[in-house]
Amino acid sequence: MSEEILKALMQLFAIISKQDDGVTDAKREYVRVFLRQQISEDLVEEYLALFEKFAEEKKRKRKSDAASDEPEKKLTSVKDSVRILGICKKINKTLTKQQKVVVLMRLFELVNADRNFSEQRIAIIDTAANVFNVTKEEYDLLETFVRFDQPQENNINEVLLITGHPEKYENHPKVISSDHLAGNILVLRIPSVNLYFLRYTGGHDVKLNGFVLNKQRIYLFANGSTVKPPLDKPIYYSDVASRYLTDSSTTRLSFEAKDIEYRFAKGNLGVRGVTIAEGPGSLIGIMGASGAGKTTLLNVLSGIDKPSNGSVTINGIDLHRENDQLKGVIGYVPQDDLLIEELTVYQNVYYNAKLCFRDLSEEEIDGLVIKVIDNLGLSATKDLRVGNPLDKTISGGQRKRLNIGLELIREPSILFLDEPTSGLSSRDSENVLDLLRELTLKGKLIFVVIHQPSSDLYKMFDKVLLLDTGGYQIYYGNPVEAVIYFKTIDNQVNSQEGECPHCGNVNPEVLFNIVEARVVDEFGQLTDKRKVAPKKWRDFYTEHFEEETVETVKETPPSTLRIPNRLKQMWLFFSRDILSKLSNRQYLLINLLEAPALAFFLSFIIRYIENPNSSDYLFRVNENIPAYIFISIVVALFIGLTVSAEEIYRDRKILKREAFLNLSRMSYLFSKLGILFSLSALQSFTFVLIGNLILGVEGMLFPYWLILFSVSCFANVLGLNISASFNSAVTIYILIPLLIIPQMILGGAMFSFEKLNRSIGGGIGNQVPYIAEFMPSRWAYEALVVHQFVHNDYEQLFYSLKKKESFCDYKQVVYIPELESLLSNVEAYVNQPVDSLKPDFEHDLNLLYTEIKITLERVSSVEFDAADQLTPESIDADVIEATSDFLMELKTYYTILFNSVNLRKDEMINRMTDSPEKQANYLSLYNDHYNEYLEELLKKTFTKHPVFEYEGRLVQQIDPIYLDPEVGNPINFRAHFYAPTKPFFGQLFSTLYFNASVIWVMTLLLFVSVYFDLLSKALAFGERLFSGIRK
Amino acid sequence: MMKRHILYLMAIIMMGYACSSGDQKSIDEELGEDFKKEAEVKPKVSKESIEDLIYSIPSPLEMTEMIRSSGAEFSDKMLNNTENSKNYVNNHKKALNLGVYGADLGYMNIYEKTVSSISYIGAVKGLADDLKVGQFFDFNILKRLASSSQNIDSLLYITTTGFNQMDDYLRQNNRGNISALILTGTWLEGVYIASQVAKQSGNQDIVERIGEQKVTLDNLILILSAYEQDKNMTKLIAKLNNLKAQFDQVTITYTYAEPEPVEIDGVLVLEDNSTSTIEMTDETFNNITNLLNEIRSQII
Repeated sequence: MSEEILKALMQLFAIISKQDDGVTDAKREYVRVFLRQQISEDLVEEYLALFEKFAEEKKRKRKSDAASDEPEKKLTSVKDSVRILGICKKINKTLTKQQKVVVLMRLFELVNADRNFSEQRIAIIDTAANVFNVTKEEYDLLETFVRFDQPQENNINEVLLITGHPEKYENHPKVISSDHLAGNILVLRIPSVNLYFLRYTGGHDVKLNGFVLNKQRIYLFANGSTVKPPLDKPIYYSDVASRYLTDSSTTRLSFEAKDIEYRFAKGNLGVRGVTIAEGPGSLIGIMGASGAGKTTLLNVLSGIDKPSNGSVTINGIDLHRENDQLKGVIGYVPQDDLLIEELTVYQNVYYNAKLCFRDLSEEEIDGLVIKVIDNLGLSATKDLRVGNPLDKTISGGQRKRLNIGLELIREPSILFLDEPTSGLSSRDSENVLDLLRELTLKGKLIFVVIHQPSSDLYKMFDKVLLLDTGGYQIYYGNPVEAVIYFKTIDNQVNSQEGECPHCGNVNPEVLFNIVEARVVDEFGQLTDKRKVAPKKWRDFYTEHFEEETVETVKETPPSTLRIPNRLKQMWLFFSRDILSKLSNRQYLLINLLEAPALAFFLSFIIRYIENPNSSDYLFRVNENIPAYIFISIVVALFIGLTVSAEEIYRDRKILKREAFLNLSRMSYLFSKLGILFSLSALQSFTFVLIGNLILGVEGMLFPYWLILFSVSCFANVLGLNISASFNSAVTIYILIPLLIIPQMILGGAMFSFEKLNRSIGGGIGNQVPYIAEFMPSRWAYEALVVHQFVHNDYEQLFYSLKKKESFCDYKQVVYIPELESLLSNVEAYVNQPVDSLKPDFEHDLNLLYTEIKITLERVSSVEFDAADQLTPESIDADVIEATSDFLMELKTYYTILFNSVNLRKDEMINRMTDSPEKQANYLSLYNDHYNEYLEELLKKTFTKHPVFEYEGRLVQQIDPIYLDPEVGNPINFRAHFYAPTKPFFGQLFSTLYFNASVIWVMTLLLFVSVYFDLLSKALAFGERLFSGIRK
Repeated sequence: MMKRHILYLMAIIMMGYACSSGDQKSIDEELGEDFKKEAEVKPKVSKESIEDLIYSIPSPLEMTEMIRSSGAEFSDKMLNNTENSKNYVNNHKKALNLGVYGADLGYMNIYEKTVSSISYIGAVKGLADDLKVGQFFDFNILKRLASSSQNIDSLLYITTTGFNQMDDYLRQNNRGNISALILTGTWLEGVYIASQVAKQSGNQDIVERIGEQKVTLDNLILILSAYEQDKNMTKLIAKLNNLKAQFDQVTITYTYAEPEPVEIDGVLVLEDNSTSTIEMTDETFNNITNLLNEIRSQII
């Protein structure tokens, strides 16, 4: 209260006091008490002096007035009236309506101090009420309430009576009975400002929020207050408020759970036979020892887990089977705080609101958010980052309230909270429960799992449900009754006392002590054996209590949820994620700098100059280029994976809450992809830019970027898969090597495919083992080395000629001599058949036949009639000679072609080097773009087997880079490693784009997997299988 | 949503089609067309005569063996640096220098500088690969042999055989020009090394052997002129003709004597008693040395 208002009040008090018989002791005492409540002790005297001064002044004046003007003694002087008007007008502007009502009430109270309701005094209050614009009805309400100890005709609807003798007030609409109370407690509501005032007429030590009520005083009964008669249970603000509300709020709701049973994946029961029936507006506590299945029950009741038996119905709609009809009806607040730590309090609520209400405008959302934040008492922390428990910016209680507030914003009809008070101080816990209590007044049904609440909290519940170990429902009903029930069963002395007769405390621990009491052995030691087994308690319960019932409501439960469309959701997820990432400076910095830093580190270190006598870097002789390409791919995989590996995992709690909003998983995933892919694009670009610049890789920016980007995106989606499926961050990070190292082993760079274990398909020349086909690293590596070699500025000029040259050379140097050697084997057998060599002979002949047939199909310029006679039956010396001649002719054919191509190439080079400048240009083109080590790799210069027999065909092994794969089966896209082109549907595609497409197809498949959560399902299946086997 | 994905996929595939290698003609078809256009180029000199001429050209080893027996010190300053090997861009240069490096390799091996010869083996192999005749040199074997001077005989044998096989192969496959150039390179480098040694030591035997090369040079020019339609070849022949002009100053007098049967290790052989005297003025020798130097510096 400001000094100004206080001063004004003192004046008003003084004016009122001096009327009639002046300042009485009662009035003085009232002012003193009043001041004490408002300001500190040392200031009280100061203001009291002020009050005296004003009053004295008036009195003196009045005395002088009285001397001259005796007859008007009883009337308020004009001067005073003017003064009152002035004071009221002055404070009018500085007070809220609620405050004005409070001021008026104080004035009445002052008058009531000596119960002298004289005309003048009332006239002054009347003036003030006029200035304050308080309606006549409310003015009357206040006056009547102050004046009379019993409810009167005119305020009967607004006064609630708490009485020890309810039978006396049978006609009164609002009565709360409090059996042992002497006198009455009257509560008055002022409807326009929703304020409650309270006064007590009896002589007991009734406490309001722990303070003994003064019979003379009128108290403001504020939100969350408790009034406690000495011998009865406390009466909560919510109890009182609900009396006024029941007629206005008519939420139609029925919640029924019948014989709920839940079986864990491992087969044991978590919850058995729980039955609940509730209507709207209740606060239900679920209690039980640790491990009794409280959270499990909550999960089943809220629809997260499906019961193995029994059903949960809301307004007759099965929660687990028809849940699409119950969208937005249920809210769930898990035990952990589901806040986005990087965002501010406001942003957390804002995004939640945006996701709940598509039809609200930006201003409406803002208004709603501000309102919720105010209601939660978080206005001061509105713009603070939420932070995490270790890096605190807001307190634990505030976090908890915010956490609940996020659910409250959409006002679900049924709310489930898992230990909302754990880790909170008792004050904060009370605040949280007050908040919930208030919600029940609006007709919400609230279930709270709570672990050993304090007495105050315990009594705030309308009902408690006790679970015993093994998920047995052992009690469901009134909390205080529970104590009596268990004490009775336990045959305790004071079993009828639910709470402490002196302090009114209920000790819920008593319950657990009774329930879990253990048998004592002959030495007085506690044994592990329980006195009463959970099942026994359950039987007691069914014996003693009838099943609760509630009338099943038939209409659809109310839901305020209006989720936005998928595109909008995606945008919301996206911007929320971006905001939270931007606020994490470390994360941002590392993500943006890691790629260029690694690129610099890598490329700078491997920038190798071969010639020890020169300081000029030559790309041509940098032996590390193939390794650079491979490491770049590994880097892309690593960065891509680490960036995404925790994405969904980190969000999983938030996702759990948002599951109740029925938001689109596709939107969520797309928003993730949007962010991750953008990041990958940027990271790949900076990596390639710096790496290629330092190593002098020219004109390859786009292809390198494309491949690294693709690989990175693949890794992103792979990371999303694991982050959606594994249950701890450490598992996820342990998994990363498991995912990356096979990619390194089977990438084709570190271990050549021809030198792998034969049982996985290695050791058969250029073939890529099947298992390696699943490695994006292999596709990426091949794409880049092939593209780098074939499409650099130098090789591009000669590639097609070199390809022909290589082809002819292979034919004349390797292929035809191989056929000739086959032929000579055949000839040896024909000349001297040995039975033991027959299989070899037939094999050789068959191979020869196949190859010659294929050659004849393809080469039109050389003819051979005797090919069909190359069979074991018809072969003879003539055929052999004819074949030999044919092979000679074929060789000549290729020789001529080779020479022609070779000459063309040489001429081309000659033209390019016919002057010293041109020669220099040519050499620099060569040195800057061609790499000898790539050449060595891709031409397999040192291969021991230039040709290889595989599946009845001779397969070329050397120069894979100049060998187009054969276009055969349209859907077969496999080709030899380092193939310059790839076959698919009868076409040959550039390896770069084809391989990039393969990586994208894999990415797409992984996306499908993460969308349908296939990995989690597979893991769960595996787990079940495993546990089945163990049994 | 799924549909959109499929669209993206289609787009990628379409992009792939767009990037796929244009008209999809198989390499056999292309070559078949090439073949029709190709009219076989016949060398002017018949194969047989070239073969005769080639056999008359001494192996580079003969010359270097003599240098070593003359007691001259080994000097790698004279050799062609292997760093140069990547500067040879066309077949002409590649072939010539393949010969040059071959001679250098021989020279080193004779002096048992096997370990430092590895880079020369690499250069030979590299050029041979470029000329698509690399199959005659197994680099791994050569490298292994070169790692120890114990294997000097095998090394010499394998390299010599390699060169001979390569030579045969080239001529068989109508690439006599390459073969001739390799031969020329070998010869030039051999004579060059000899001339450098002779210049320093003044060893008369070596000078005489250089003089003898007059005949070889004549044959060499004859072989090369079979391919003189090639511009580079013409230039080379012109240079060699200059050299020939100097060699023409050398007179070789051949004195015939009856061969004598001599028993060596129980085998009767005929010993050639004919002698030839070689006369070469110091001036001619200097001119030849300078010219060799010049030509060599142009081809390496």
